[in-house]
Amino acid sequence: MAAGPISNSARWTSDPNNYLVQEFDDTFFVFFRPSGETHFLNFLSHGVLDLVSSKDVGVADIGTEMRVRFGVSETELPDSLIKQTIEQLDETGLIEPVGSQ
Amino acid sequence: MTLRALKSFDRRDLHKALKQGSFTLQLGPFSHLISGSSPALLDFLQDTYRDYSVEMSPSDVTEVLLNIRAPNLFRRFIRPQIMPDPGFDVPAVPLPKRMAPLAYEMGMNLSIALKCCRFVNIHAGVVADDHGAILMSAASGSGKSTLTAAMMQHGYRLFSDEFALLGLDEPLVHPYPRPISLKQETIPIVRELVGADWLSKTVSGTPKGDIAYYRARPEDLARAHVPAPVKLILFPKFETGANPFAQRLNPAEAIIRLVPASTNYSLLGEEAYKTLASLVENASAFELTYGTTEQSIDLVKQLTASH
Repeated sequence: MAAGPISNSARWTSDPNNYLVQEFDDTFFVFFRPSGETHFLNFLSHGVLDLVSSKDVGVADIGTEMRVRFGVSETELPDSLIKQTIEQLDETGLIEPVGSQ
Repeated sequence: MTLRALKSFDRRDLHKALKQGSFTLQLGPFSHLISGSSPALLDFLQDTYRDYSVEMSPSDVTEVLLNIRAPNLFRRFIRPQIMPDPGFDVPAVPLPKRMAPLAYEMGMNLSIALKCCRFVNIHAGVVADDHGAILMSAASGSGKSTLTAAMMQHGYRLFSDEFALLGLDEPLVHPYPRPISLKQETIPIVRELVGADWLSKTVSGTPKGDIAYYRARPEDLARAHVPAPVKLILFPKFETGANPFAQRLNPAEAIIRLVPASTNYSLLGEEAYKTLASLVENASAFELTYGTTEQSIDLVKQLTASH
């Protein structure tokens, strides 16, 4: 988990072997092995998790890739919402800052 | 192992086995070793469990170990009380001795809910016909027990009024047909439905109000080893004066309701996750709102006809 506020320079990562995902109508039912907890993610949270599971990415690049993936503008999907989503995923442990271990 | 119907044993032998802790009840996938010396417990077992299979020697493996005992020496003699002791700490309130049936059923429920790890346990009523099982998950007071009893009158066999036991490596629910617990105003409704002979004596003034039990039928017990796939998941909701309505739920909505209804989801972790994901993928889910038992039966019949 990140220490303090999310910084724009931080890069994020996730190990896809740590979790299981089942999609049900735009809701993603996720089991996180290290904590044994289950999470329900919306399409944006899952999109971020999916992206950082394939490569280490910073906030700005996550925002850009999410806007392309979902075909929305920066007004509709601002970086502030991306940061909020990252914070929530970080709290669950599903994603973590690169170099945190 | 010699299993016999409980009613074939004489009372003295039953009393002795309960007192010695050698009374073993076999039901569905579980073996239960029961002990206690309360006459009220013996009366209850001889009446409500008369058709269940028991033996008078401990099994090699016993999943449930339940002692119905006084909370302390003092309460064995002065204003006697009893409480269920399942072998681990539970928040059980001591009850007057005459409420032994309630202490026993509570103890059985706690044992399965908190210690059974061979199945994913969902707090639900379950009935089945030849096409599959119907799982009915609801909070207390939602009409689950009345609906379960009514479904039995319409040709369904009883799996359970308390637990859907979902296999971990197979998409099946396993029967566990204990008596149906009826509270307060549901007692006369079910008595009217099934006949007074099928109900236990009412235990009055319990912390849950008046309680009676609807015995499982011999045919339910005879098939207590035959699991079934779940075809319908229902979330019944009784509301006085409500218009009957069935609202289809998508799998995500169903699973969000089922996870908190499971008593051992967190304990089982990944296996429970996979089991529930498979369950909602293979069954249709609905929220049922109704104002009378007849309306609930009509709704279920419509749903079973179309699924």
